[in-house]
Amino acid sequence: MLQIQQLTKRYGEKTAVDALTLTIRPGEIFGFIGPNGAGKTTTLKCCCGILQPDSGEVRVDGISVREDPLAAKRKLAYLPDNPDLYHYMTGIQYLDFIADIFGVSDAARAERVRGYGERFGLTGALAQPIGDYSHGMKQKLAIIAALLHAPKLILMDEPFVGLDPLAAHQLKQTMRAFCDTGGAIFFSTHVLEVAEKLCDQVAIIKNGKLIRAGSMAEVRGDASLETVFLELEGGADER
Amino acid sequence: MNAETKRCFAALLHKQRREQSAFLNRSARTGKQRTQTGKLAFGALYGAIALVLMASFASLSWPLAQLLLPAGWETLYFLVLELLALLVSVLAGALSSYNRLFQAKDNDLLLALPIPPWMIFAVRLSGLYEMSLFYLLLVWVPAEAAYARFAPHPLGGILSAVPMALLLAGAASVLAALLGWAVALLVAKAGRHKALFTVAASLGFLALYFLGYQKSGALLNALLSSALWGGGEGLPQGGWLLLGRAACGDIPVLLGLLISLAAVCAALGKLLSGPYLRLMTTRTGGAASKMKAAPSRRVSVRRALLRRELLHLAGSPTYLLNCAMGSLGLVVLSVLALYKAGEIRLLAVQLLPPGLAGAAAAFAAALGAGTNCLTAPSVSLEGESLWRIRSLPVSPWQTLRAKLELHLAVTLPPALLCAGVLLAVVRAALPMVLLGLLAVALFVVLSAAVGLVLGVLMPSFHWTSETAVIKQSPFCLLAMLLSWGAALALFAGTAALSHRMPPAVSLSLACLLLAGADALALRWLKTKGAARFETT
Repeated sequence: MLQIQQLTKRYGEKTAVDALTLTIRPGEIFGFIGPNGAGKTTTLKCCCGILQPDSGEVRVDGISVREDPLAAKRKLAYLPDNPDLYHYMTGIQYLDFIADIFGVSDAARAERVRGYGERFGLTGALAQPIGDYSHGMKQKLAIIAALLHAPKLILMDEPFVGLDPLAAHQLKQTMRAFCDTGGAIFFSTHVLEVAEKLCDQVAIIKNGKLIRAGSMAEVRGDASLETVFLELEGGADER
Repeated sequence: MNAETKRCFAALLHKQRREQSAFLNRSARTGKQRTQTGKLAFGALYGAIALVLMASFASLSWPLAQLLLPAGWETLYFLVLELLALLVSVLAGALSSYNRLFQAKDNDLLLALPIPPWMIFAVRLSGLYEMSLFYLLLVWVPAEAAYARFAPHPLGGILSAVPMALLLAGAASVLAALLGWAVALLVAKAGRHKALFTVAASLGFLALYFLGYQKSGALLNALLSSALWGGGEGLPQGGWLLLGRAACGDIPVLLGLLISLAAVCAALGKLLSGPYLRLMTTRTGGAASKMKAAPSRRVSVRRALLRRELLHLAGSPTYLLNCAMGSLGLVVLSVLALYKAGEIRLLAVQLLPPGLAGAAAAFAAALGAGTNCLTAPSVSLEGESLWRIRSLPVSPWQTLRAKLELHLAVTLPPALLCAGVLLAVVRAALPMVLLGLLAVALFVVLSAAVGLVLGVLMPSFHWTSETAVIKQSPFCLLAMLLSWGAALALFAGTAALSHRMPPAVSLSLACLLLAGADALALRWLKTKGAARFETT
């Protein structure tokens, strides 16, 4: 579903992502972990066409993001770590806007807005301006918007930040259900316990370079993901 | 003030300075510091705009100085120009003082820090003061230059020029702050209808200002007549003349005014210290209400993008008031033109060669349409939510086209209405009516495209308040000046050619020129502009 080949992105002298290669298959929840500034957000932004990589290739369902960005974007949804949404719209106006851009039919949007709205407890707030939302409400709205057009791939940057325990639980269930129907999720997180329980595959990145990737069982072996992560990051001794 | 308070104050002031000079020092496109050449170019652009505005005010102060100063009416001369400078400065500050003082985007951030609210207010007021001073100097510098040229003994007035400017700017910022406070108090009551209320309040203020301007014009004429030919009967006396005397170099009066202003500032600080925190933290949405919201029917991508732009305009009083009021002006002008049809027709017959009235009517409407400046700030207004449009399957040209369509949707109908009314009032022939309407439509497209070109070339996404993008960036003003320049140049060309060919032919040539410019600007936006927007 998502193929990242030799992806490199530089900001001036600094190489944020260095020849990264990953493959995320349909049905997989792929966790992407690493310390702050490791290159996770840059990778995700390159995958959804917000940033242009310096070299390498990203394909979504076989479509090159570089060659046909619009076709690739139609297959995916992106959820940033800090969703700055349009403060001048109400929740429902925002969802309508996203649905219109993706050409979601009237019946499908009504059903999905109702379904996801109730699942994330946001139905009662959809008539309010987004400017009045809390961080968690914006996050929930961004999640609903991401699911609205039934994408094949969802890219999420720290999706659990700001969510209350119930919403976090609902999100995990939704992610699992989404991948069980053939979708794929590539998400970054600092919450290693969540990654350990939720992910089928995991990749660890440091200074823009991939230092380990594979199935959860392969990566962690007999240890916990936290232990492996700290060892790889060189922080085990300090613990 | 203890050391900690001083340090805190200095840090806040430093932040304020950096925020205000960010557009000059940092490239919005790369996020990096500008080069020395870039800074100089930006400075030169600002300087040029300021000079143009000063020249327009000099056209008022120069003849006034010629009339009043040799006749010994120095006090009256300064009083008139002080009031004009105050009006300009207060108007410029009043429309943004609410957002700058009470509802800045970094309110929560600052309130979470150990900074007393009065300090935030004081520092923000200093920013308002600087802006008031800038606008005041546009009137004051040419006023002092004319004084130096025509006054028999100008030394006292020149020496008091700087303290007087500082004093007047203080008075202007206090008045602007009070207006902002009044708006904040009323908005706190208005709740969810904040945007609508702010627009209505600002329009009410503008209407009052316009009425005041009209009355003051009549008053000024009466004063001048009285001073020059009526022996000074009916001229302002007592307190009013203190302002004028201070500017003439009367040191005790000047000191007295400075002390009075300081006292007013202190009183204002005391008055606002209590309610400021409450007004800063007022949330306009009120308590979360449980309202049913149903999705609307599916529309095309093009309409969805246009609706997004319209929602932004309708939800942002700053955007609406500063960039779209030309539309209201065009409607008002249409009504006024109908009301004063006879006088306008007579004026056209007296001033214009036969057949040219139609072209003049069309370009008058075009000038009015040129005051709308929706596209220039629209790219920067994407701000931190730029990620959203970039991650959607929408091409950069589709996004830019929606911004153009917003400008057309808001500007074209009133511009055509106004042009139609003016053309009817001057009784233009049918071919001139059709050509005039075509010229206005092409001009509106051009002003939208020029604004968007500037917006794409000079974006700024890292702002704390929309005011920073709309009022403090050069491209809005530049877009308006370019539009007006184009309208005036085209009218001048049409008028010049009308001696050699029928006006309908010269207006057709103007339409051809406009169509060519439209095509060039739109082509640039579709190709290079779209590419630039994608990678900004």
